[in-house]
Amino acid sequence: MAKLDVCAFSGFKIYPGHGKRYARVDGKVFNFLNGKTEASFLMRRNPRKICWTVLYRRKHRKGTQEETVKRRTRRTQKFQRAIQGATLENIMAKRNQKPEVRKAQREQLVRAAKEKNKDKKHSKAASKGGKSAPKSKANKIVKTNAPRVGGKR
Amino acid sequence: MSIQLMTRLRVIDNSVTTIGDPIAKCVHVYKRKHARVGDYIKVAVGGKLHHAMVVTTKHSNAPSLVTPPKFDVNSCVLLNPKLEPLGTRIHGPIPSMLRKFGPRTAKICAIATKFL
Repeated sequence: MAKLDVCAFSGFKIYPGHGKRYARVDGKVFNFLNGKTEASFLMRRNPRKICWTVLYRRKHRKGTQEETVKRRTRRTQKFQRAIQGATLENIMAKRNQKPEVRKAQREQLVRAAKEKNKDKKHSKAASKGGKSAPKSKANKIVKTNAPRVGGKR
Repeated sequence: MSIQLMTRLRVIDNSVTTIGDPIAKCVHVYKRKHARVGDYIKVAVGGKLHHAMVVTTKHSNAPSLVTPPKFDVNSCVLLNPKLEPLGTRIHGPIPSMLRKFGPRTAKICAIATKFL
């Protein structure tokens, strides 16, 4: 059984004994089912605008509504995973910390930093004897937010 | 319909570089009135007469499985009086049915680059 060609213009199948073949100088070969498709092609009509061609029907999605089911939208799964330096438990624990606990933690850190700075200042003042370059503002440790769940926002 | 007296053909082998004119005018068709693919003709190119073989035609009969495809241009390959090709390479596609002609077209098929 000979190979069934497809019409280059209409998209219909060309059975043996039918149709014509056209070879362009650039080497491209086109199969035509009949004179109508051949003429249309050579007239440089756009098959996507000609209603009875397969290309038009495909473009305008004719005749396939019964077959296709509504496409399920894909949802990316958000998934928390461990990273270098923090196991999954650590991450979850930090994330599930109560806000009061967090606040308390932060305050503690701030206090500690302040203390540290105070000590530093004093020590410096003592060593330099009066010419104490005031240390810049207390290095307040800013508590970062819970780690970001991967993916695009 | 097909190639006949006064038809202008494109010479698609590289003998054109020596002759200088890519367009040949058919001056005689051997054995018939109208030349088809694979027929011998006589052409006038660059002020001289040469033998040639018709290689592609704009006209073709269906069905396309058996006959060559319809091409964009009428073209020929120049031959010497012994009917051997003058050029060394053929630019552009030629129909694959030329292979079936046997020894007549064997040398032409040998220098061809693309078959359709």
